[in-house]
Amino acid sequence: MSEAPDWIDRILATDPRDVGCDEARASLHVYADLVAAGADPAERYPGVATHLAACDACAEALRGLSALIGDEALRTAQGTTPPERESGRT
Amino acid sequence: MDDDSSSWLSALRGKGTRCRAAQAQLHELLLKAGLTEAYRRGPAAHITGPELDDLAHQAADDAMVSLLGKLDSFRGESRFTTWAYRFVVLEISSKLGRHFWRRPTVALDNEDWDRLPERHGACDPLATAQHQDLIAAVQRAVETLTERQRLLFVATVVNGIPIDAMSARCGATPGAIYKTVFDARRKIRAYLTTNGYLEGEARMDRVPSAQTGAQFT
Repeated sequence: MSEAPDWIDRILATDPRDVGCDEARASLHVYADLVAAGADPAERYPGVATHLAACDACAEALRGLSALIGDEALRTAQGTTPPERESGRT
Repeated sequence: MDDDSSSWLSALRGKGTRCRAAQAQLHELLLKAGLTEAYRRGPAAHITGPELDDLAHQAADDAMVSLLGKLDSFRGESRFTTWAYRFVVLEISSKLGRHFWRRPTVALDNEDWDRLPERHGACDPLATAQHQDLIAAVQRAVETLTERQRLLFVATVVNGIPIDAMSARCGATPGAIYKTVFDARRKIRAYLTTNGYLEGEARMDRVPSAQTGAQFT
């Protein structure tokens, strides 16, 4: 039996740490903020990191979210400014 | 929770003009984000122009409704705006999944087995010929799957149809689609191992579960 080609490993990869799409998408905002802050989100969310490496759809969603966070035009737009605080709030 | 996020929450939970102003501001933000994301992903999805604008507006509207209904679930683990953007990004993904089926060339019954190695990174066309036996074995393994596993494995892995498109087609969450394909992969690997195409034991105990830390919903 010869060694299995890489493509067969790719199509049959199943990592038990993989949390799946629903859980990965539920924590995508936290993951994206950690990436933007230069932290290592895989350390806090290893199952999400495993999933993102295996799922193109969720990885694409993360790319979109990260692009929005880093979008200078959005960041400086008036709409991103939170509403004026009530007096007395800090 | 950071001050900006607290301020958003406070305004959106309030009443009167401050709440209405916050909602208008939030919708404006979601629309800008929706347009940015729609135009980023549009070319790959073969969508352009006014259709992308419509998609972004619908995504912003739906994200707004969904977000306001889940306001109490925001725990400040991220910035509020990042949390809000997530709703738009996922709405865009979902809508692109539905849009996928409008393309005239898309069909579920065209199984593209010959391109399987190439689709998954085998650059050398010769590799396809060399691995015809393996492709045939995978086809035999696929015949042992349940009908749903077979449909979803062939669609997403063999034909490269996006998970969000199959989610829209089947009326199931992306997570449910992914889990079914995950199980199919395990069964195919076990079949190939048992029949001598792959090395190792035909283990079927790598089941994602709450005990192993992997959870599917």
